[in-house]
Amino acid sequence: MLMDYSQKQENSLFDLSLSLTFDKIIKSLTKEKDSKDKNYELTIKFFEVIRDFCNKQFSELNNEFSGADAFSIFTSALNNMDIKVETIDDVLEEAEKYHNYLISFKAEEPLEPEKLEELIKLLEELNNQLSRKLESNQMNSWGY
Amino acid sequence: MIISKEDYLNNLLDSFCKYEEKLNILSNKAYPSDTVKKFIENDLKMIITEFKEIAHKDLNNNKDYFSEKTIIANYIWEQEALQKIAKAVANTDFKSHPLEIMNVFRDLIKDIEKNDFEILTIPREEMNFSFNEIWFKLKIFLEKELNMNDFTVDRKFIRLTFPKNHKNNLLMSGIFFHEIGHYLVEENNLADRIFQNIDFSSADFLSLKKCIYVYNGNQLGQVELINIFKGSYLTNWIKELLSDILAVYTVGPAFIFSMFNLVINSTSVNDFYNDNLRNIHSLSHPSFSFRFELILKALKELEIYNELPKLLKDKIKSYQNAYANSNNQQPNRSGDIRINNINYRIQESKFLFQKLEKIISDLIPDMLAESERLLGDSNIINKDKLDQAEKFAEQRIKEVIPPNELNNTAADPIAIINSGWYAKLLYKNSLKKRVGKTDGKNGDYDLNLLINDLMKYSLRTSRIQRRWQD
Repeated sequence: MLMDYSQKQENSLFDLSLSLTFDKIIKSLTKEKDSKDKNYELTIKFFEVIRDFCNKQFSELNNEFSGADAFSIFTSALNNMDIKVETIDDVLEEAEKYHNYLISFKAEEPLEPEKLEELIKLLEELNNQLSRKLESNQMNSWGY
Repeated sequence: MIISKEDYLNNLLDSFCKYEEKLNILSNKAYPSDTVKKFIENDLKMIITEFKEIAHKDLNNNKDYFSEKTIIANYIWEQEALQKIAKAVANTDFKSHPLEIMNVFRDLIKDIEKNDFEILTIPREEMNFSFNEIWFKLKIFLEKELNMNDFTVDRKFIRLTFPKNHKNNLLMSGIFFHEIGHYLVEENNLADRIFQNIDFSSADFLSLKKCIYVYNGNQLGQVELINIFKGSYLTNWIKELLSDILAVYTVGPAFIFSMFNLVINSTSVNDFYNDNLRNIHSLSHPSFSFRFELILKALKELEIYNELPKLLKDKIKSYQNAYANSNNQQPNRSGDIRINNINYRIQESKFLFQKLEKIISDLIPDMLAESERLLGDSNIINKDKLDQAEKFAEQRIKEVIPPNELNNTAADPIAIINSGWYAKLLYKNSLKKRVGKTDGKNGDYDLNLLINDLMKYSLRTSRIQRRWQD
């Protein structure tokens, strides 16, 4: 539209796709179901686009979900886990940590139980954030 | 639980059945394009049949939770993704669409995207234009999540809406180029690409903290600022400005004249008397004065501004001045923004908008470069096209001859669109005299009609001539 409009959130179907992917990874991490397939690739890429965003390199999960979107979901999940990140560098450090956990797990290297628990918790939080995003209907009260 | 799983699924099934009924009605209509008919009869029907089956299966199992497939089908239904498509097809006016200008869009997008697509044109009562894709992302999602792989239509469906009263008004077509700009920005994730180039460590960016109040003692650092301004103001503004640049780069001055015509249309008499052009910043749009400055910069970047006839340059300058000197008062609102379940209150102020303008100004070189890269040389307006427009206005339209060719070469569509504005602004009186409409009973109505008819004819015939030439 050319002129001003009242903001309405257009939720993307990709958010749901990502949430379903995280669900599958959680099941795989908890050995409920083991499937080391494309779900791993997308989840690993999720951390990589955050890393790229922090390093000022543009990348995206598909043409509607960019590094900035992943950054937003990830930092909100960290906030809910009471992990304090104040600067981009803090976020980068966290993203790399989880990225490494996932790479190790995929390579079938044993992951210490605390790390595994941390990773599962993060993925659950990411899913929480995505569900909220999927359910939100944006625009709140605006007044003079 | 107040609502049982059975109630919920029965309700969902009922909606699916109604949708199926609607599809049956739609598939009985006659369509000029086989693709649309195939799309309804095969693809949409296949989806709703699958959804019905999913809900039915879930109804018959004894588990007390919904299956993953039901959750997906329900979500798509809640998002109204399917309903929007059916509505677009049902409201499409195949007999009476702005054919000539649609072909210009079709050729432009085809050249940029190199893919085939279908355009559904929908007339609207209100004065607004829109242009967006409604099918492809859903198709990819269904293939991935529900393994539906038998779709017959493997192309984008673009919904184009236009004001009914301006169906044949090519003088307003410049606006469409802004809307196509939005489409290209969305399809290529351009706004995020630009947003990322903000210097998030700069004093300007970090000073935005002063405009935000945080509830419940949540922290407010660099990270939160990025999340807040990605959702509000900055990304939206980048989208608007990119769409403006893309419009200027494709159709040049015609966009500015169309845009200002729309402004006149939406300015009240009272505001007119008070030099009170609506010139405010909002969550979704930067002010018109800011936009006009950038539009002018884009024209200069193309090195065409100085080549324009003086009267047109003066006209554009006067628009810019009108906004710069507008008495319009910025309403400094405050409002809650919710980012992933955390509330922030933003207080608008002169300070906030100055900082946002400064941050955005630093991104303008990137926006211009990305726009240029996306469109490619052949789709960017240049001096030759405007020279052609000038000649068409003087040697053709002014003489009431359609501007469809010059020296036996088919006219460029962008030159034709601009020539209409050139003729209207430069030769209004002589053209009116020539066709004997000097009494002015209908104002400029007859003049606009005549120019539009000449342009429409030219867009049609030059396209045919170009096919022969190629």
